[in-house]
This record gives sequence, C-alpha cells and structure tokens, in this order.
Amino acid sequence: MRPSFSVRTFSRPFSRIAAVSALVLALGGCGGLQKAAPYDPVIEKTVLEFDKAAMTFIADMQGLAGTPKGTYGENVDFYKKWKVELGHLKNRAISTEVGESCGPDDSLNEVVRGGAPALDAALARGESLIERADEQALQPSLDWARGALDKVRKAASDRGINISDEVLAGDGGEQGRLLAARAERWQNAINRIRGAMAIARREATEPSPETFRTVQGGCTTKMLTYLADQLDAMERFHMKQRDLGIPPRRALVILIGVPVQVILKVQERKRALTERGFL
Amino acid sequence: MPNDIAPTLNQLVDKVKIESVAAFDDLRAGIMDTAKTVIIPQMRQIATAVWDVMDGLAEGDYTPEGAAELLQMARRAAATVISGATELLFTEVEAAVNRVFAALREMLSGAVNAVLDRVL
Repeated sequence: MRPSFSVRTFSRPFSRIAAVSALVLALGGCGGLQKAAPYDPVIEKTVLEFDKAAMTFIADMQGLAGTPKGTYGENVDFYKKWKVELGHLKNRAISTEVGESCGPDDSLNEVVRGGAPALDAALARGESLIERADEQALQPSLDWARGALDKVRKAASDRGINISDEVLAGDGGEQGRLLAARAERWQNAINRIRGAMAIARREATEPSPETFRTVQGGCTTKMLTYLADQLDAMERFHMKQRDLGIPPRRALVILIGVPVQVILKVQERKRALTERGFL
Repeated sequence: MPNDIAPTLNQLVDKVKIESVAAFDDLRAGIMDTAKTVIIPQMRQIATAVWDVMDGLAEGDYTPEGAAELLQMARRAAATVISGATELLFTEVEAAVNRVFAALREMLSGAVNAVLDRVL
C-alpha cells in the first residue's frame, strides 16, 4: 500500500514539532540572531533631561562668550553633575545589555578611524591639529587657570581678605564670600584640568596610543559610552578655549545634539515596537 | 485559533506567509526610515560641524586646541550614528522575527510553545 502524504500528517504532534523546529532554526539562524537591548524608559528620560540641560548651558555660555563669566573655571558645576549622571547611565546600559557586540567591529572601526570619505576629507584639513598630544594641548589651559586663580586671590588680598588653598572662606563679608567661592571654582577647574592631563598622559603610554578609541560592547553600551565621552570632550574643549569660552557657533550644538538624537530615536522606536507587542 | 484544534500544514504556512510578508514590509520600512532619519541627516550635520570648526578656527573663534577637540568629537558623533543605526536594524529584525513567532504561537500547542520559549 502506498503511503499517504496528506497535509493532515503534520497535524500529528510529533510532526508538528519537527516542522516548527525546522522553522525556528531557519528564522533564528541557528542562534546567530543578534538581540537588541530592551526599551529602557530611564535611558530615554535621562538623555532627554541631559539634552535640555546641555542645550540651555551651551546657549548661556554662548551668550557669555569672551567674558569672564563664560569661561570654564566659572562653570565647572555643570560638568560635575552630568559626568556622574551619564556615567551612571552607561553602567546601567552595560548591566542590561544583551548583545556582546554592535555588528562587525571592524566596519565601525573603519568608519571612525577613516573610511567615511566626505567626513575624512573634511577632517583631513584639521589632521595636524588632531595629532597634537592631549596633555601638551591642555598645558596652556592649566597656565591660564592658574593665572585666573592668582587674579582672584590678588583681588581678595587687595581688599584685605586672605584666601589660601586651605582656607577658602574669607572674613570679608559678602564680597569675601563671593571671592572665596570664585577661588574655589577656579581651584576645582585646575584640579579637573590636571585630571584630564593625567588621563591623556596614561593613554599616551599605552601600547598603541590612538587619538580616538572605539568602545567594546553592545550598541546601547557603545552609544551611551560615546555620549559620556562626548561630555568629557566638551569639558576639555571648554578648558582649551580659555578666555574665548564657547563661541556662538554651530559645531558644539551639533556634536552634542547628534548622539542625543540618535539615542532618543532608537529608544522611541523600541518603545513603539514594545507597545505593539513585537519586542 | 485555540491550541487544542490542530491546524493543517496549509493553514500554518498561510499564517506564517501572511505574517512574514507583513513583518518584512515593516522591516523594510524601518530600514528605510533609519537611513532617512538617522544616517543621512546626522552625517550631514556632522559634516556641517566640521566645516564650522575650520571656519571658526580661521576667524579666531576657536583656539587650535579647542578646534582639535571638536574634530575628535565629530569622529565620536559619527561612531554614535553607526552604532545607533545598527541597533535600529537589530531591533527591526528582532521585531519581525518575534511577529512571525507570535503568529505561530497562536496556532500551536502549549508543548511546542515551551520549545519556542527555550530557543528564543
């Protein structure tokens, strides 16, 4: 008797499991499917808040460009607050990340180290600037900040107020307190410039020092690490601008805005797909 | 369809086909959206920023060290765009696969769903 191959054969449980297993393997690519990190409302909320704070800060600084109030030393608090917030967000991403890489790292490395022709052509014009060692590039900022602190101390001294490294609270009333607070901000700025120089020095002694380092981990980890690094870079930029401060130009707004927009776009899409039950 | 009623192969294939086509349409739209709203405009913005740095340096708005830092930021911004676009693609693919499996789950028994849960 000829065996029957009716489609009903697959309604038997064992055959159905076999058919579905084959489908699972085909669709799942035998485990090769890269999983995306889940939608994270905390990332979305914190990045939105950072965006608002950073754009307000940059606009304020641009309005004060070229004045003492717009210099790095007078505005350290913004960087202190957001460095902690973004560092926390990066750690959160690392702890919830499901992927170990973000596509082939070689391709990404090629883009960031060279390989995007239009960007590279533009960057080539500034190549000689990029090659300057970071520690050396921060030395004028350190000298400048020390000079600014000396000026504050001299102003205090001229009013009979003694502000030393150890004693920051003067006894000259309101004027004394304001000068003491300024001196503290500038001392803080000097410490942070020294810190940035120490990091640059350490990185320069690593086996293959590079001007730009790619990040390991899944895509969300990478994006949030780049955003945190971007804030560090913005702080160094502010230091290096010395008396000029942050000029009313487009570059900084764009270079902080791009990572923010990309992260928010990813989270927005994940939220939409999660709401539709597809993630 | 309730799980205790066994589907035919044709019903199973039809369901997977319909969901796969819909999922692929969404996937394709998602990829095009990624290109249109993420990669192209953001790379254009970065190029604008690089131009602004060189122009600002010439006009004395940036110190040489400050300009160099901004150029480094441009590379990092480009890396973020590529990472974000890649994450969006992973997300779209995962959503498409989940959608097809969700359709399968509706038709199959609890035992088979348990197997799916272990694999996915």
